[in-house]
Amino acid sequence: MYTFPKLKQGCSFAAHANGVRFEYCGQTFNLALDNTALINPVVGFISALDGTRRLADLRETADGLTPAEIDQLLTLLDRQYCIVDAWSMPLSGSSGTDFLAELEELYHCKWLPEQGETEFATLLFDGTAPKPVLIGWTFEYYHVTRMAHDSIAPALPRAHGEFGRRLHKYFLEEYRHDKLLATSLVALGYSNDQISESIPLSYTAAIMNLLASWARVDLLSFMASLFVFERSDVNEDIYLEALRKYALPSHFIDGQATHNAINIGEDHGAITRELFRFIDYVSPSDKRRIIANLRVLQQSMKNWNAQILAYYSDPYLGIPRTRKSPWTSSILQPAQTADEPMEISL
Amino acid sequence: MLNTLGGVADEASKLAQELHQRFYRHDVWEQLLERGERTLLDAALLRFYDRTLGFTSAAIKGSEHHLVEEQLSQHLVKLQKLDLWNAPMAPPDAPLLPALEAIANQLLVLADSNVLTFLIVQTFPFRFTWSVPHLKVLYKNSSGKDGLLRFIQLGERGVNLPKLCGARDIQLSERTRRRALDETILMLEMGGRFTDELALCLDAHAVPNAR
Repeated sequence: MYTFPKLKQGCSFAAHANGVRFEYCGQTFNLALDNTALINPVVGFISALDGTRRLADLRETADGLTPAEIDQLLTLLDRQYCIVDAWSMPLSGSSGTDFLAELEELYHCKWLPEQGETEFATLLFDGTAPKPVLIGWTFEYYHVTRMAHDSIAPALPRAHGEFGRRLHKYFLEEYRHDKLLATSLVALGYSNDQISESIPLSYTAAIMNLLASWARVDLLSFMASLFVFERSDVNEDIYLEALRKYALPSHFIDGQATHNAINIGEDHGAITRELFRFIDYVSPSDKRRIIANLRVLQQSMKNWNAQILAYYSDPYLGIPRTRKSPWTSSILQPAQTADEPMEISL
Repeated sequence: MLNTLGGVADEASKLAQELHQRFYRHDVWEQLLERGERTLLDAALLRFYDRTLGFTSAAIKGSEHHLVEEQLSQHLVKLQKLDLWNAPMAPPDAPLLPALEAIANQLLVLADSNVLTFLIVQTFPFRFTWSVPHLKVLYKNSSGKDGLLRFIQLGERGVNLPKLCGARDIQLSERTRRRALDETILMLEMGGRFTDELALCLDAHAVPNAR
């Protein structure tokens, strides 16, 4: 198990007539050797354990000891806690803050410009988005806020200290914002039952399941994704400004404005930065995994926007989505000749 | 009226078959078979294998019924014994297809929050998303691909998990029944999106790059 074995500081040894005696931490133990011709080779080998030589080289250069005898000797020293490995992984990761700067740059300066403005955003800000699309968007955003509760909660027991307290505060600030979004939808004439029994689009579920999965299994990716979910203050203002161009009931905008005001007031756009301040070190493999995960989130968000526009632009599908809606999503091609699915009989 | 796991599984199954007719991309699987394209599928299958170990473990943790826990544990052991992490065809950083991640994440979240719904929905990927007949042709007799063929066969076997868990004896609330049907819709829609993503990769002759 050792790459550069080194005798621990404070461990002393001395040859005697029948072997070698060791002393470490006030304990003495004796290596008795039936073959006294091995005493000098053992002393020579132990003297070479200064942490500058690879185990493989030590094996090759040890005079008078077989590889099996070397392994036995190292096992003995290891069992007495006298050995340490002088080798350590060179650190090539980053601090949490530095990594986040890299990630934000990648996201805002490379991925988003490559993606360009989504068609949905263009129509919204031009004031030309069809009204059903705005309503559909609000339904989907209602589901995002409803699922946020179950998506953030699994991360809480895994967060400790000041970091944990900040995450709990964030959870409280996001708690039950679905009620605010539901208020918007009620203002349009939908009943609470219609709203709560509506079914989200598959990409709405997909993006929230990304967050929920990371909250369960990958806290770093969870933290890193929050800045993507939390739009910046500027975007929040532009969105509300855009909504006001449409002839919509004032209560419809009020519900969303309250939700946005909380996000801006509590500076949720900066939540990822705040959380990553608590992370001293992000390893290269963690960085690769988080970047790949964020790329999936960005692509899923893009698909989400496209699905909202395509689905709610189709007048035949109806709002809200329920199990009784006609399930012909316009972004999914209808099947040609489908395989026979496997049968299940219970 | 009381719902049983078996009854809801049948209901979800019927719904899934209806949706399958609308979302399934037979043409994409035909193209994959025609081109003998395996690089993309190797990466996708290996990624799904990795994720399957994760959501199956989560379901064991969350299962309240002894038989469910036992059957899922046996299934997990069979999956682990495939040991595909060291498969020679495994790319160092397998590309992540958003829809495949969505399917795996849906199962992980269900496994961690509602195991009975998980049991129903976990049957869908191999019944309605992956084309098992096409995969079997592609991986049969392929040197070094035995592990993936066995993973596909285990995926097929997972379809029987609800039955093995005593589906007729386990009762479900109306709320869980509704959730199972909603999750069925989401899974089948996303299954369609997964095949769309495979088609896009086929057109681009490339696998997506993480960066």
